[in-house]
Amino acid sequence: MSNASLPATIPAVSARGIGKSFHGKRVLDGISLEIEKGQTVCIIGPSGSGKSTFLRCLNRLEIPDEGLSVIDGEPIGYGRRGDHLVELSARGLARQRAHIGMVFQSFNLFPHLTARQNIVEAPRAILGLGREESDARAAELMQRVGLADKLDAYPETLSGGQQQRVAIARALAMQPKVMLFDEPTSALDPEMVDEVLTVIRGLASDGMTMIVVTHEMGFAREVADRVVFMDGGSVVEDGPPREVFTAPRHERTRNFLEKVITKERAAL
Amino acid sequence: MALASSARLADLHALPRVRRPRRLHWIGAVVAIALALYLLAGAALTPGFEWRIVGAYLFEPRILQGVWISVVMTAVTMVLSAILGVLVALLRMSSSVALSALARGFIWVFRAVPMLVQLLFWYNLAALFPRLGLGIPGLPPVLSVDANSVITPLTAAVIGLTLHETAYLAEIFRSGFLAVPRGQREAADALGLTPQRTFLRIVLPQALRIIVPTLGNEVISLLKATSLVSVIALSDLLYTVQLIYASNYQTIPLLVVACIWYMVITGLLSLVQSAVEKRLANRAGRPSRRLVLEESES
Repeated sequence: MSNASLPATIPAVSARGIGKSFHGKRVLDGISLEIEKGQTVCIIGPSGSGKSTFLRCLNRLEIPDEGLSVIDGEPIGYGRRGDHLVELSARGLARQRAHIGMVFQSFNLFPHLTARQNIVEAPRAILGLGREESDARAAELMQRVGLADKLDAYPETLSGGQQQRVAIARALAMQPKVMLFDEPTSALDPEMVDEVLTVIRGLASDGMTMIVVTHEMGFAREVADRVVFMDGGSVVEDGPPREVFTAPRHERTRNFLEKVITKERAAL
Repeated sequence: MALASSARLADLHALPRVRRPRRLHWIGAVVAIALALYLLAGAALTPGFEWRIVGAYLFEPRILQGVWISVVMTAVTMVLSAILGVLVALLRMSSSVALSALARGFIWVFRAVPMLVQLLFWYNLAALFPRLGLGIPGLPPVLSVDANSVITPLTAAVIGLTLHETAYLAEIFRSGFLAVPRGQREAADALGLTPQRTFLRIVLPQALRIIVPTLGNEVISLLKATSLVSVIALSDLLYTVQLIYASNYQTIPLLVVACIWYMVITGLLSLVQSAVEKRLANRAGRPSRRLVLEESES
């Protein structure tokens, strides 16, 4: 939106001091993360380290107890009034979210709608696209994720990998400024992981700004501009993949990587 | 090794296979047919049923008029209650404590007061409030009408039935809304759909699919509940039948006429329900059972 008026150096995502507790247990301990436009950042870490919660705090699916997420210059969940940030209505928040794509672990396609209907729903409702225009966009996106022949299929009839690719197309249809991926391949059968990773890889090379929470170390090493290792609700390590994977500075990172990589080797 | 040779294995594969005799099916069929014949013969041969009189009254204009009133009352009540039921369910699930308490109170009161009592109460509303109007207590009313002219048996019946049914439907709708996986709402939120759009396009259609069988049940119960309006002298099917047998004393045959009509309408409603369920199932997008389970575990 106000993209052009912002200096080119402003980060696409700027989260500061994000804190969150569930039932008295501190899940996120004041996390700060800035992401440049066009960067792909992979967040890795053991289950329960708060990766997904952090991602969900960025677009306010989870309301953080402290801290603020600013995406593309907009304080998520707030509007600026003079020298205050005032909490937005559900409608105002929806308007901000329209520019942030999200892909879920369990796909969350709408089961009563076809792939095409899943994709055109938001562009029609929010961007006000007409039938022809939105259908054309759906067809183009389905082509891009390699499912041109599945436009009129219901989610139930698609494999997990296909459903996830439709979910990616659905998020892209809103032409988001940032894409958030919450463990996009964790619910997939092993042979379907690659078809989804290929699509995400393609987005990375097209220059999409992305945050990917993932357990796929090979993918992170290959695609990420930056890898963030989280443990116990904080960022432990943050750097280029080569550094994080081959010369981790922290004991905890080393332990985690050893465990994961031994497991990956055993699987081969 | 249980098999002595590969020749014996080949024998096993070559043997013809015979279907197991389904003896219980046959016994069941015989018993069912015998029972049906016994009941039919019993009904036909019992003189008290007076089948000739049943036949004579089955399509009598007054009876048909009564059937019509029962059906229309069911339809009007169901439509009104469905709309109000969704609203009450939404209020009940509201994050505002006051609104939620209001909806809870409504559901409590109108499920608590028996249908029959409510009908009598609404019918006699004029005794409580001789004039109905809008206004603030203590000030002269803005708009005022004679209660007796507004509360006819028909309006009393529709108001009573609708309030009662709304309370039940609100809980049914709520259960449907809760059964839609949370991920569906999250996906809609993440796309930036407004709350209204999310509700109308994503949550409501999936909830309806889940509660169609329960709704079918509810329509059928309501059809029969309309027979209660006979206590406020509204000429529905049952009241019409009562009027007729009060003058010709053919009580049993006329009750049989009423039963036949209730059974016919219920049968038709069941057919409609199956058709709706089938149509929804054919559109493939049943919320998958697996997904619902996954969500409820997390």
